[in-house]
Amino acid sequence: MSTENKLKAFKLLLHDYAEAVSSNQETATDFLKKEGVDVNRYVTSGIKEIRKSTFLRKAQVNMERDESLMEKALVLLKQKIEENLSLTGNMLVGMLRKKAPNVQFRSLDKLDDEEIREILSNVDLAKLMEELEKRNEI
Amino acid sequence: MERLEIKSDYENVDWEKVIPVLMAYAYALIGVSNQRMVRSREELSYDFAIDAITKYLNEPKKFEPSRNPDLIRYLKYNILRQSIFNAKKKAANLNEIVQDEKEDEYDLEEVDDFFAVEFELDESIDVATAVASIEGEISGDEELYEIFIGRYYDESKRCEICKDLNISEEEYDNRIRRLRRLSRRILDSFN
Repeated sequence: MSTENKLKAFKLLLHDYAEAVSSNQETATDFLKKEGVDVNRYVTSGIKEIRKSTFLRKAQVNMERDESLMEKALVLLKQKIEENLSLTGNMLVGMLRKKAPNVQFRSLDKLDDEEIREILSNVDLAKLMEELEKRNEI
Repeated sequence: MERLEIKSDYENVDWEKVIPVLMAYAYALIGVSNQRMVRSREELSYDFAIDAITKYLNEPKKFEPSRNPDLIRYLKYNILRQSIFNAKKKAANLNEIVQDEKEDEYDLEEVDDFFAVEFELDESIDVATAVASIEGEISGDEELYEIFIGRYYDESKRCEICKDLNISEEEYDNRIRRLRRLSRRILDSFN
């Protein structure tokens, strides 16, 4: 066997060994315990980290979805205001009152973007858009 | 005991089973020559294992079951091993740009060869002499010698050797562990 192949063989041995000691949970746990590792402590800590990571990831996805919906709702409302469709405007105000009863509404055409965003932040955007789509308003 | 494989229901993985597997895998790969890394060997094993899992959870679409459906294999070969390799290179202060996201470039079927070529070894070891010593030591042990020849001379894959020798994968793993223990003793004598 050439020196190069011996090097390769040695590395493969290391790889095979890593596979052998980690073939399943029991084998891996036994191996780590023999090495003096407190496996239970690491598993408990690891599960917490994974849950935290999963939670943060979901929060990030929700935030991105909400931002996307917010912009879509903002464009829709501004479009309706510019079209000056009083029926549509009244309907939207009525819907918004139901969704966000604590918010005081003025005439929609007097609201700027930030005020509309503030109102929409109190509304379940997904449901609002769904209802608007049902009413064929988009 | 069967190998842990996860080939379906990827949304409901029992991570309690996976963490020790990845930790043990990392622990073995890190080896004893990690003096230039800041954290202990077991802490590093944990870090690499959790890092591999969270990387997967953050970007699950990078895992392509159509190429190989085993998630454990993906975590070990495509994420964890690459992370260890990168960390070792960084720790060694090699003047190379180390890319963190190279896993997409690897073909899972070729990973054994890739690993053999790329993995860093302690440069102080005279590998040729060490392997010759290992071979000499096991020449009288038929069970280890036939594995050694099949794997390292003939470059057969694990499944091929199991089939040729008519042994289970568990038996193969047992022999590899014995071989490793023996080679460790020989390597220690070189230091």
